Amino acid sequence: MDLYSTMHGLVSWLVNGILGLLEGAGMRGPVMQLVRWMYGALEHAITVAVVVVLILVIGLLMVILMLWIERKLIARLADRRATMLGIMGIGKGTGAIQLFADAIKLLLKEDTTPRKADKYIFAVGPSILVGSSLLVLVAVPMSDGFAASDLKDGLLFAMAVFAFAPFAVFLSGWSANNKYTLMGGMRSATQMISCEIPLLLSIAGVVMLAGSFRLADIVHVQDRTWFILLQPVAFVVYIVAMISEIERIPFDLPEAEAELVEGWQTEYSGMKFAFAMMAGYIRGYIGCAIGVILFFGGWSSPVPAYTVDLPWGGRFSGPVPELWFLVKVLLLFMFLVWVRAGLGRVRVDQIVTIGWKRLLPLAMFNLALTVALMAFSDDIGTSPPVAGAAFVIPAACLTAAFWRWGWFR
Amino acid sequence: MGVVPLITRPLWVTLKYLVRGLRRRPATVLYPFEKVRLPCQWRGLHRLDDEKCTGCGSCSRACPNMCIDMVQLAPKKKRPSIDIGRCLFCGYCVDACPFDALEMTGNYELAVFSREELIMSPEALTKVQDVREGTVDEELWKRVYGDEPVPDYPPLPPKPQKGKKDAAKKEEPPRKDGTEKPPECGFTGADKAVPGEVAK
Repeated sequence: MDLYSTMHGLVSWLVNGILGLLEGAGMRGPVMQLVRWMYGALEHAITVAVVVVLILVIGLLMVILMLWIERKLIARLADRRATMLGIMGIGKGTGAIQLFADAIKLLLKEDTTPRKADKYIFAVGPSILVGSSLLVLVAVPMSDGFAASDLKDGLLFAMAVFAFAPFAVFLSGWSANNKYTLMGGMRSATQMISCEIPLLLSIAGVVMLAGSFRLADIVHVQDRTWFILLQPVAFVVYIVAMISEIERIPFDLPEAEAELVEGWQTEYSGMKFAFAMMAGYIRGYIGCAIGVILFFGGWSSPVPAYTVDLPWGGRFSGPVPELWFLVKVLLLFMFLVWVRAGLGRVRVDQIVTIGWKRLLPLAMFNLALTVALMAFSDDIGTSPPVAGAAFVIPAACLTAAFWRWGWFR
Repeated sequence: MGVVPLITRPLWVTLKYLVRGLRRRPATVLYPFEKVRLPCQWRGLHRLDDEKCTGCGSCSRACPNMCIDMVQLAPKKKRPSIDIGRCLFCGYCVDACPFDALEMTGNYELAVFSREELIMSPEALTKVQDVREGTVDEELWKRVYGDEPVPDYPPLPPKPQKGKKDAAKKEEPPRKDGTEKPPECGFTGADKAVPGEVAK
C-alpha cells in the first residue's frame, strides 16, 4: 500500500467534497476561489501532515500494545497474574484499561520541578528524548510505501537519530541537580559509548550483504534467506547492543531501581515522566522494528499471496505486509520481555566489558567473515587473497584475545 | 564460557513457569475474590463465649500488650474488651482462660476506618463469626492448584471440656524421644512426618 498516494486521494476527496458541498449551497465568489487556490498550494503539505500523524498514531498505539504485552507476559513468566482490570470491574478483564488509567493518572498529576534544577534544560531533556525517538519513526517503513519517508539512507538516518537519546538523558540527569539523576545520566553516556560501536558494526555486515542503506532494499534482499541465518553473530551482537541502547533489563543501568531510585527520571513527575516512559517504549519499538527489518525479513510474510472475495463485494488481496511486520516486531519484543523476566541487571563495569571486550571483537569478527565470504561471490570485486587476509588477521587477533580472556578455558 | 549457563538457566526457568501457568493458573490468588483456606491453628480475631465467661480477668492479666480491658457491663458482670490495634495475636489470653470462654477464629480482615472501631467490645466479640467454619471451595481449589489433591484438613478442634482435659493429660505417657505430641489440627503431611508418631 502506498501510504502517501492513498492519503493524498483521501485528503483531496474530503476537501473537494466539502468545497463542492459549500459551492452547491451557493457559496461562490472570490473567497471560494482563494480557498481552492490555497488548497492547491498546500495540497502536498496537508497530505504529508496527515501521513505523519498517522505514523505517529500507529507508533503510540504500538507503545500501548507493547506495554500491555510486557505487563501480562512478564507476570506469567514470573508465575503470577498481571493487572486484570476490565470494564466490568477488577479481576474481570484483560487489563487493557489499566494502561489508559495509568496514562490519565500521569497526565493529571502535578508537574514538579526541583528548586535548584536548571529549569530550562530540565524541561528540554524529555522533549529532546521524545522528539528524537519519534523522529526515527519517520525512517522506519512498515511495508513498501507504508512509510512517512522512504529515505535512501534510511538505516543511517535511523541509527544517527537513535543515538541521540543518551544526550537527552545526560542533559536531564545533569539539570535535575540530584545525585541519582546525575549518576543515571553518566551511566547512560557510558553505556552508549560502549554499545553504540558494536551496534553499528553488527549492522555493517548486513548492509554489506544488502548493498544498500535503504530499509526497503534490505528487506527485498532477504526474499530468499533471512539475514539471521547468514549473520547469526551479527544478530547476537545487535540484540545485546540494542537492549543496552534502549536501556532495558538486563542493561537498564541508567534507571536501576535498586540502586538509583529511578535513575535519571527520578525528579520527573506527571507528564514528563509519562513522556520519558513513552520514549523508552518507542525506542523499544524502533529497536525491534529495525531488528526485524535487518534480520527477520521485514514485512515479507510466511503465507503466499492469496485473494478473498469479500461478502459485500470487492476483493481482498493478502497478505497484509504491514500486519505481518507488526506481528514480527511484537514477537521480537516478547523475546526482550522474556530476557527481562529472566536476567538480572549487570554492573557498570560489566556493561563496559561486554561492550568493548566481547561485542566489539565479535562484531569485528563478523565483519571480517562477511568480507571474506563476499569475496568469493561476484557481488564484490575484492580478490581472494585480500579477503583471506581480511578474514585471517582479525580472526587470529580475536582468537588470541579470547585465549587471553579465558573464553576457551 | 562460564557465562552461558548464567544466561540460559534463568531463561529456562521463566519459560517453565510460563508454560506451567498456561496449563493451570499462576501461583497467585486474586485476593478479594479468591481466598485460600486457612490452617485451623490460625490465630485471628478473638471470639467470646458469654455463657462460659465468668469475668475473672485472667485474659487481661495474661495479655503481654495489655490490650484487654475488663468492662463492667452490669453490677456483677465483667467481660473483656480487646483493643485489636494493640493485640499481637499471641493467643496467651486463650491459654490463660480457665473456662475456655475465649477462642481465636480465623478472621483476618480487620481493617476499619478509625482507631475507635479497633476496640472490640464484649458484645462485638460474642458476635464474631469464624470464616473457617465454611467448607473448602473445591472449584476454586481446582482453579488455583489444578489436579493437586485437596489436603485432608482435620476439622476444627472440638472445644475441650474442662474436666476431660486433665484426664487426657494423665493418660498420655511422656514420650521417650522427648518430642511433643503433634498438634491435633493443621496442614496434613507435615504432622504425619513427626518421628514420634511413627514409633507409636
